[in-house]
Formats: sequence, C-alpha cells, structure tokens
Amino acid sequence: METIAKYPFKFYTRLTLPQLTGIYALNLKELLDGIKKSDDSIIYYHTHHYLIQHHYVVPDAPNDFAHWIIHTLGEKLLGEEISSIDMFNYNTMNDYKLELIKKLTAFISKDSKTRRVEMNERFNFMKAVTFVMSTGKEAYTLREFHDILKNITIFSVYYHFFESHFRLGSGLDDFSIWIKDELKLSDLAGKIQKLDPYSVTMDRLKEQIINYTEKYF
Amino acid sequence: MRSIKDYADIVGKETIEEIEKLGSYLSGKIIQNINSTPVGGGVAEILSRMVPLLKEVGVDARWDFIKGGEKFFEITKKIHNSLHGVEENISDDDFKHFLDVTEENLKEINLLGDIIFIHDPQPIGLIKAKDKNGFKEKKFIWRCHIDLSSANPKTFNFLKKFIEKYDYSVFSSPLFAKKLKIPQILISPSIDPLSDKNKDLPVETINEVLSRFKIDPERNIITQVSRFDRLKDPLGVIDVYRLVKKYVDCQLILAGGAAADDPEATEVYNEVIEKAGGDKDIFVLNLPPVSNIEINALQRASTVVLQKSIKEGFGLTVSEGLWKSKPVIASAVGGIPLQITHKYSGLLSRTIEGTALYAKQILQNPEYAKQLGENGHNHVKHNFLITRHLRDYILLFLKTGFREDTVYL
Repeated sequence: METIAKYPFKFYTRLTLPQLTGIYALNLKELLDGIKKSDDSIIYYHTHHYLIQHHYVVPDAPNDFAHWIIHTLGEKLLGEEISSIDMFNYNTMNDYKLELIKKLTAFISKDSKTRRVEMNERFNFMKAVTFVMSTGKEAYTLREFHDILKNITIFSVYYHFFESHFRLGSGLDDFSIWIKDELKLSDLAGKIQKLDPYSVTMDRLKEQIINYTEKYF
Repeated sequence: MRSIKDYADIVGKETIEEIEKLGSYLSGKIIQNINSTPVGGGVAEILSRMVPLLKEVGVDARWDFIKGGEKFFEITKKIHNSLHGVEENISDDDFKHFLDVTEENLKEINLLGDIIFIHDPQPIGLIKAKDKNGFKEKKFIWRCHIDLSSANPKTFNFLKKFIEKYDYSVFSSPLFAKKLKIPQILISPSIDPLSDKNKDLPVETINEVLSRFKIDPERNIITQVSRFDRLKDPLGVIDVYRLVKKYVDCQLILAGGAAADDPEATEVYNEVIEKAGGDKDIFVLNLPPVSNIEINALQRASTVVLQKSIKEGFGLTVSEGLWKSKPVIASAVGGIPLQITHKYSGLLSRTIEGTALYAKQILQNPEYAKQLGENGHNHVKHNFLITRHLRDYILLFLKTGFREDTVYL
C-alpha cells in the first residue's frame, strides 16, 4: 500500500537574472578585495551560476572564481584549492566566503607576483537577481513525486537541492526531508542526502534521484 | 507562424511550462518595445520573433517605431559607428538635430506601456517623457545591443545623460558594458532553432545547395559565414585554408553578402576574389540577404566552421555553427568566449597559424571533431536559444516591479 503524505511536496523553481556590480578584478589581489566586498548574492552567483550554465557537463572548476584563477591567471595550484572547497561543509554563504578569503590571502602572502590580465580578461563581479516561483505541481505519493520530478526543469531541482542547503541552514535538501518526514522512507532519504551535487552534472543528479525513487515503488 | 509549443521538442515541455507560468505574472501589464525600424537589422529581427512569442505566453507586448528622416538616420549611423570605436565626425549640429527629432517623436508617439523597453541609441531620448505627469509610475528600460567597450567618449557622454535616467539598462555581455549609475542587467542574445537559418534540413536540400554551387560533398569543407568586412578577416581565412591544404585536402567556402550600398564590402569582396586567385576549391559566395536556407545548408555540410574575426560583437554565427553540432574554431574576441569553452565546446584561436593548426587537428580526428560539436550543441541548447532569451526578458520585466534582489512570485 502506497504511503500518502499528509503534507504534499510542493515543487518550486528558482530562476536568476545576472546583474553587473561594476566591481572587477585584474589580478588576485583585486579578486580578493572584490570577494571581501561581496554580499551573499554575489558569492552565490559566482559559485552557482556556472553549475546552471554548464549543467550538462561536469565542470573542471565548479565555480567562476576557480575557473578564472585556472584559465585566465594560470594559477593551477590555487585554482585546484578553490575548486575543492566543499560548499556543503558550510551552512552560510558567509562561512564559505571566509574560507575563500583565507585561501586567497594565504596564497598571496606566499607569492604576490601573480599575473595581471588585460581589461578584456577581467573578472566581473556579478550578482544574481533571484526569482522563486511555485510550479503549481504537488506530490502526495512517491510515484507522484517521481513523475513530477521527471517533468520539471533543472532549475527546480536546483532550488530544492542546492538552494535548500543554504535556505534551511541545516545542510539538508528539501527532497530527502519530505521523503523522510512524510513518506517515512529514511533509507531513500539517506541515499539522496549522500549525493554529491558538485561533482555530477545537474542532469545526472536529477536522473540519480529519479532512479533511486523507482526502487521504492 | 511558429508557436511557443513548437519549441517543446527542443528544450522540453517543462521549460515551456515554466516560461508560460512566468508570463502569467505580467498579466495586465503592457510592455511597449520601441526601436527605429520594423525591418532590417538585428534588433528588428529579434523583435519580430520575440514579440509574438511574448504574446503567446500571455504577455501584452507591443512594438512601435520612432520616426526620423534621412538626416536623422545618417546621424544615428554615425553615433552607432562611434560607439563601436570608429572615428566619426559628429558635429554639434548633428547632436542638435538628434535632439530635435527626439522632441518630435515625443510629441507623436503614444507611450502607453507600463514598461517601456527602448532598444539602442536611436530612440534613447524618449526617456525625457519620464519627467512628465502620468509617467512617473512607468518603468523605462534601455536595451543596448552594441558593444560600448571602445565607445568614443564624447558620443558616449552625450548618450549617458539619457541612459542614467532609465530604471534599468541591459547589455549582452559584461565586456560590452560601461560604468553607470543605474542597474545593468545581462541578457545574452540568442538564435532561433526553428528559423530557416537554423532549422533541421533534409539531406536533399543540403545536397541541392552544394550541387548548385558545385561544391563536392565528399571532400572536407571549411566554412566561414560572414559579411565581407575586414573585421571578419576573410583574407586571413584564405591563409588558414592554404596552410591546412598543404597537409589535408579541403575546400573553402566564404559565404556572405556585399550590399551594393556598402562600398567597403564590395572592395573587400574584390580583394577576396583576387586573393583566391582562381583556386577551384575556394568558393566565394556573395549571397543575397534572403539566403537563410543556403547558409544553413552550407554550415550543415561543413566539416569545420570558422569565425576568424579580428573584432566581433556577440558573434552569434558561432552559436549557429555550434547548434548544427559542428566543430567551430573562432577568435577569442567579443562575445565568442562566452559561446566556446576552449577544447571543450569548440576551439579559440588568436592567429592564422593557430587556426590552421586546430583545423588540421579537427580534419584528421573525426571523433574529436564530433565530441566538440556535440558539446557545443548542448551549450547552445542550454544558453543561447530564443526560449532562454524569452525567459530572461520576462524576468527583466518582472524585476521592474520589485526592489529586492530575491523576488518571491
């Protein structure tokens, strides 16, 4: 007998518009200064829009900072360090930002002679103007959840999987919380929680969640 | 007439549903687009597709044009060139005439929109209406389709007085923007996958086009589609072809237009013909402006697509090539690096020799070529199709109603 949730899972979606801040960097020092001045929406943009824009590919650098450091400045060691900061270890954007500042400061203090790039290669600090919207779709059962998941955009998956991490401040995703609390499927919830969203594509992440749920029908 | 539903096969039903849902939040608002012409040029081309699609997703989008005589459009052409960094002599009298025509348009045009979306410099002065009674509540957006990075300071400062009165500005790339006091939103341009230039074509059509131009479909084809303009470096493309041909057999297509009223294009075309020197494997095709199917077929028949520009705007011909799953080698200028991630979704080059090296690599490694083409196709599918453009415009219009950076609809 299929479990019917008391409270449905309501699918939302999150869409963004990039906005220029007017701040830019031509070298590491300026990048560090820019990061120090950046609020959450700026850090969020540069750590997550890359995933959205390249959601069909596993990016070699999972954020704009690492991408610029590796591909424009040619600082591969630092780039790897920045790439490998596990965002899911931080419950707030500010905590992540402080770690970023720590790593950049340490690198600059050891070697301040890094490349200065031309204006057309600059790092432009941008922020995300975010729109959160209900898709109007609700699931009361695991099968309904599965069927809807197959027919929503990756922006919706993104909202419930990435955004939730910082929105809830608990490091959890909306999917596994609902599956555990409402459908009492702790094992499935645990599997979804363990997925590493920063090392697979968004499409693959969605596919993995769909595949997991199918095993619990 | 194409319908929004026709795009579902390409981008997914869920994407179209999301756009329709977003559109519903603009119910009751009139979005009035204003530019300088209903036909000709990139802006009119975009609006002719965008306005019907906006209407279809429930947005009351309108499209109006300003009026201006020959003198006005000569001046705005000079302004356009000057914003691109070309030396132009724009006199005080020219600026005065621009302002006079703006005043005439302000008297005649009915600014009925709740959101007034002004495209490019020609109608920019309509912002003066914002000071009038009854216009305070309206939102004005200026959409700049031009790369302002090397704009002439005098021309830019003349326009800046108007720009900074707008509520928002929109640029195609961060590299095209200037420091301004108003918010600057970034929206990339797009291609329409269902247009004649980009839609799937039957093999028969492709073969018919090749046969018409006597191009051998069995041999490698390197193609650059661009108007005959020195900034597109067609002569450099012939050098690339000659370097490649030393090692790998190939044909070269240079397809573009040379408008009769553009003396420089005719001059460049003649230089290209001369440089080709009667080589039977170089096809210099001076095509009329309506040759979209021909361009599409030539790109689809190509083994490699080049865009060896010296300077470029956004360079959407790159996305056109990528959309057809072709390996594209393009110069790392203008908006091209936004479309190509080097060695992943195409190749970025900086010299004739570098371009030739990459072309040889592609021609001799079909699997590598296929992978680049597939990745490029996916990148365009997710980032440079008209459906993404449509969604971004709706988000932009919605943003005008909120001060916050996070909007809960």
